[in-house]
Amino acid sequence: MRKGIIQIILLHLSLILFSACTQRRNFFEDSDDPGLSRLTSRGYDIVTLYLNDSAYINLYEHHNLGGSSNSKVAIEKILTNSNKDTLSISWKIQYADETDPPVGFYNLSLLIPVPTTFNKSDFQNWEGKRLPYDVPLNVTLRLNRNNSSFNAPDTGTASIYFLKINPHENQNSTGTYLFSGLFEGSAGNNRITKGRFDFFVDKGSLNF
Amino acid sequence: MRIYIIILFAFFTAQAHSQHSLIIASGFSTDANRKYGSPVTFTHIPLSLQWLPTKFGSRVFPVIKIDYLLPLKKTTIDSAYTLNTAMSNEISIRKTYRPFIFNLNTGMRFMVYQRGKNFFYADALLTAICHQYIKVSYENYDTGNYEILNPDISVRKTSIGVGLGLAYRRLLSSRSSVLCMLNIQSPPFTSSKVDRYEVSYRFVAPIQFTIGYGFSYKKTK
Repeated sequence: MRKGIIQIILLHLSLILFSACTQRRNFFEDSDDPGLSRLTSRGYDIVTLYLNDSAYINLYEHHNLGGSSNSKVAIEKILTNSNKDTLSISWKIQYADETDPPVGFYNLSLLIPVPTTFNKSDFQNWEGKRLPYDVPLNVTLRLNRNNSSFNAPDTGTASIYFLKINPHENQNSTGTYLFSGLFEGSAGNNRITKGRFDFFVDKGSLNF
Repeated sequence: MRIYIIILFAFFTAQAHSQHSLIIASGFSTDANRKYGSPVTFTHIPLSLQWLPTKFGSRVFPVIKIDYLLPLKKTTIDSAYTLNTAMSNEISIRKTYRPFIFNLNTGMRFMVYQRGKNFFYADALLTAICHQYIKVSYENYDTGNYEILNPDISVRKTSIGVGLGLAYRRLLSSRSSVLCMLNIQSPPFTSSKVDRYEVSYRFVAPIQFTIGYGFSYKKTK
């Protein structure tokens, strides 16, 4: 009897574990742009873009305790010890049709010069703005193959449209931002078009 | 689903020799399951065919209904955005919904009150196979330059639902009658999400007000 109960519990646990392992990533294909996910603002944690006309997507990360999820956006203020700091918005991206795990990936960063006093409130004020058109701040695109420090990254210019930078308080105690928008640019011989992102960003993870 | 069809078939065969009635009805339907914040309420013209394997005057009898709800087109606006500085950064795109609904119901109809030629009924224990196809389309726009934020998609699903109803029937003769009916039906017991992608609407729970004509006929072997 006891053995039977233990077997049932083990069966349920393995089913839960199996369902967690087999969960597919958030990706909702846009029929107008094959390989790209739709432009959304729901915190699906996804970035997709065309890099030289091929579709790319953020990495799908497997966690040590089981389960997998789309890799998050990294937003960081880099201190430069000058009158301007740099806000870095970066993703790790892979070729969309590549096998999992991918053979290689790119580290894609959008670098924006900001005043040293730049804070969350300034960040939130960018909602609905296009850089560098509505806010005169030049955006630098940096593309680094495999995040390697041996190869010099390709750099160029970019533009970004912040559609949503909305506080979303019910996600956790420190609060989150719903962060979504569009971007495009070029770096060296690489051209990025139709970039679109949709993330939940923990306020507590921001260093400004 | 297969069991449901077998029960339905058994029910038809069991009633093969009794007096039967048919009701044809139409009217107006609105949605009791509108998503909070949605700018549109789905409305329909219901076309209903009811089969009652009984004669007039029975107190409790089964009812089988086939409902097709003809959608009334609803439009709303979505926003699309571009980074192209030669164009307006935001435009409005017209979005059209056409929610097609087909229901096959079975249940029991109870006579709750009768006075002369006037009968009042309650429909209970109605279970249904519900098929809903919410068709969403956008007007033509420049897909090369603009991206719609949170675009809606069409969803087509079939599932089980339940319903309730009230009916008033007035006999015109021993074989014919007119009816006024009020029915509410649950949406299909399934989510309108597709692979976790959220849409701006929910499946429809139709509240139908219909007026119909009923006539009875003798079923012969």
